[in-house]
Amino acid sequence: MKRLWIAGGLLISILVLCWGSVVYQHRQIDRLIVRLNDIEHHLAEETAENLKNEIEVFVDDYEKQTRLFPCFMNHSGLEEARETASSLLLAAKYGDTDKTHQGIQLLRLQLQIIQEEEKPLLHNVL
Amino acid sequence: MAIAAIRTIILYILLMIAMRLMGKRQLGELQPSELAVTMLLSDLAAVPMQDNGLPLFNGIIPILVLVSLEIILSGLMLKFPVVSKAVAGSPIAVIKDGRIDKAAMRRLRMTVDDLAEALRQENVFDIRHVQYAIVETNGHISAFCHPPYQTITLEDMGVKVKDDGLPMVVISDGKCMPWGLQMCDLDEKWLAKTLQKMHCTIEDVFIMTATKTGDFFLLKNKDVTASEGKH
Repeated sequence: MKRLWIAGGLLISILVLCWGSVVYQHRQIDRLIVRLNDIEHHLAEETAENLKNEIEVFVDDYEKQTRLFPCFMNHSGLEEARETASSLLLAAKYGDTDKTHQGIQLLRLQLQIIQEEEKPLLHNVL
Repeated sequence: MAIAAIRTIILYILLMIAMRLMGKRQLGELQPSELAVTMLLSDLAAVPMQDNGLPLFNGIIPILVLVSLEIILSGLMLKFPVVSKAVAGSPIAVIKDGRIDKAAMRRLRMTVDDLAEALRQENVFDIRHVQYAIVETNGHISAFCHPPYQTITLEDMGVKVKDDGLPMVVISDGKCMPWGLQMCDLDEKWLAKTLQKMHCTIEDVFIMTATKTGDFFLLKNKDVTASEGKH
């Protein structure tokens, strides 16, 4: 009987943990995408120096907000997004607006793919 | 490399906990669901051990889910016979009253060779001796022979034997086994008195067994003497 309670408790804890991780991941990625959209919006208006600073802050935030992601998500997708974020920073440092724009779009796409892949939907389960 | 080593240790400990949680049944005869879980557990643990690109939780969560489901299913099987029948099936008699049931064997996809082999494993070498043969839900066959071919017992021979009870290990490799003492309705006072009589301490003893009547067998570490004694 004791084992049954432990098993039931374990199962419920796991379900709560899984739901929590999906919600957390979803929220964090949404925040990052909103920030990316803001940066992209101001791409033409900002000076090179401001843009570089903004992207530096973004990449720093990106590192902080995705720190826990490797605990429950596949590392390969996260690594790719991290590389894109790094290249975005480089592009901004060298004042390459086109590459910065591309980098933003690519990073946004990668984050959206990561977000979509982790949803417990039928096509992901199958 | 260090990461792989740490993951292995974590998953090993987790597997031990999982096997303990599932209980002794898992380590003995396996039902179909238990066999499936056992096979899955080892594979699930192996994947994140080898692939550092996968989160460790990708191994931990499935293992814990499987263990929980297995325990819950076992509980349901205990409470509801219909669940037990659905999951484990029912035992099937392939020999009834000395007659082989071909339909039952066909249902089990069992050949005559399979039946003969299973009976030999039960030390039955002549199928004519078998009165009942039942294939259990775990695939094991239980054979019951006709009375003339059953193993004779002391009761059949009218022999009265003293019941000394079950010999239990009370000292193992220099350490006292309280559970063994408890099973023999003995206590540490008796143990101390007995060891004093044998002129040794617990640490000197390699193995000591005792029965509820106080009979004991003691083997010292030096292996100089094997002393059998009575209380």
